[in-house]
Amino acid sequence: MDEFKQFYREELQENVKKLRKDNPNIFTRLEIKDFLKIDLSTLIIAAIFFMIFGIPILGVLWISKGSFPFFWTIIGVLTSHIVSRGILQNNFQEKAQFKTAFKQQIMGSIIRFLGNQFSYNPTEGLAKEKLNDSFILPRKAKGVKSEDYVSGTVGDTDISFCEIIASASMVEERKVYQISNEQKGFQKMSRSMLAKMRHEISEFYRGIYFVADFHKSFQANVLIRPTEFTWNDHHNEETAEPYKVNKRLDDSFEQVHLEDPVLESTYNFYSTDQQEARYILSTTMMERIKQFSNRTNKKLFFCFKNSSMHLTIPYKKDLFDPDILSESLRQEPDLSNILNNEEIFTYFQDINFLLGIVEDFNLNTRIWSKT
Amino acid sequence: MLIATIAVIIALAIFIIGTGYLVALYNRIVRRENEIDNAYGSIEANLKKRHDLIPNLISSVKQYMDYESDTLQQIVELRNMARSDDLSTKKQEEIESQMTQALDKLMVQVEDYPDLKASENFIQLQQSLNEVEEQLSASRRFFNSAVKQFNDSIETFPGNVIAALFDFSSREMFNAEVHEHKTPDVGSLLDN
Repeated sequence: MDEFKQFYREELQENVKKLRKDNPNIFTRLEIKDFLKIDLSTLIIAAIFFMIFGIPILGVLWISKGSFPFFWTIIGVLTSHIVSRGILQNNFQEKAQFKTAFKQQIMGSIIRFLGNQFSYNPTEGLAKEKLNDSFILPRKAKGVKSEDYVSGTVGDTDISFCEIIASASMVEERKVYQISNEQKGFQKMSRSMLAKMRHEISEFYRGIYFVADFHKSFQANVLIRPTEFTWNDHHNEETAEPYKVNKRLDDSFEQVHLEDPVLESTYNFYSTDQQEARYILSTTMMERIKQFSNRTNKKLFFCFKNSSMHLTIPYKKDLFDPDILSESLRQEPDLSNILNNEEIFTYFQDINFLLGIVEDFNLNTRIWSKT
Repeated sequence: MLIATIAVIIALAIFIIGTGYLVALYNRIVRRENEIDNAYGSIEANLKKRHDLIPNLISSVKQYMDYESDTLQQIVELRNMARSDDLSTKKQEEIESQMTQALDKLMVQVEDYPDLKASENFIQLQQSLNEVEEQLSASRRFFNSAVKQFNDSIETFPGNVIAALFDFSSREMFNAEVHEHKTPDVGSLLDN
């Protein structure tokens, strides 16, 4: 950490300063709702104008005669709408540019500080097919937004990780509600309602997808899923339903019962080969999973496939995105008190934690045939 | 007449459902018994892999160590004994346990032979041995898990009725300790 603080003083702080100076307006918090308020206010004023001046004669006649109140009210509303949209659009673009600059200048520097063996691509990520083929999540993703791909080696172990946001069509979810509601005697959903929902997409998982080369060779597929998982655990969506954790498993998977009762109560284990599952999940590996799970206090999903370990850790926040409201970005960096910029250190700590997974699972121990 | 017909239908339904349930239960017990055999087969396959590695290991080690050493002799003898066909499961378990201890002892002795430790051939053999030992440990754990599930299913009602009818009896688990903790650590050799 001391080394990183020194790096921050010598290099990163200048980047933060420059980023802040280059984007003075970025910290003005403008949201769509602000502009909706402007639109709404203008409409109310227009309505009042129209009621005062427009009621006696039909609006059509007023327009045709070029009458002042109605015509100029319409023009005013439209202008106000266009201007507010323009400001909003500009603000969005500025934010997007700031985000890109932040990732390149700050996150890129942090990754470089961690070692030349790491590469970082803010726009690269995990393909939807790869996520679905891993069976790591109990729901099939209809859409995957993935970015911030980091790859490299920690000791002898190749690793990579990126952010993922997995989403699914609401239809499947709503059908479940529909059936349960029908059972409770509620009215059946109309076709038009279902057709509308077909286009609705809901985010059901957000987190980090981590892949590491496993230290043993194996052919089987092994899945570890929490016995219970509700997106509510990590996301404030009141409507979130608990996952059915044994979903999306074909007949080749069998449940594996391991010797550790604590782990068995927290996770379900599935594998295409009972013996290889135990070869991968040795007693020390089980202990490491338990410790890591306790330390993170998160419900993790694992997949062991093609001699690699895949792991997803749910996160509410974006680990690589700038927090516009962050004090360290808004204020002039304070050289005398470096801890004022602890948000920047959080980015470093989060990435360091991910790289530490290799040690946490002892993946650098290469005492087996696989080198 | 109607009541009698209903009673017959109910009795038939109970008989069909009951028979179906018992058949399903019987099949489940048979599947679990087969899983034990499958797990045992996996143990035997891994034991064979271990036995096959020993001649290479001995030939690699004896270039550096005294072949007459007790440990090497013991490993060779145990291997020959383990390959006999007429061994009971218990006896085989004993021999394999002794072999595990002898191999561990050998790996400790190897520490005194830096040239041997650095030998590429020996390192590869030791890695293979580590792998086989862990696979063996995994298959024993699988076997014990299969035996536990089988025993649970024939010792609880109504499985115990099926077990009595079809002569299923409890199986014994492997008592051999999980070897993983004692895996010879080649890591220290590789660090050199």
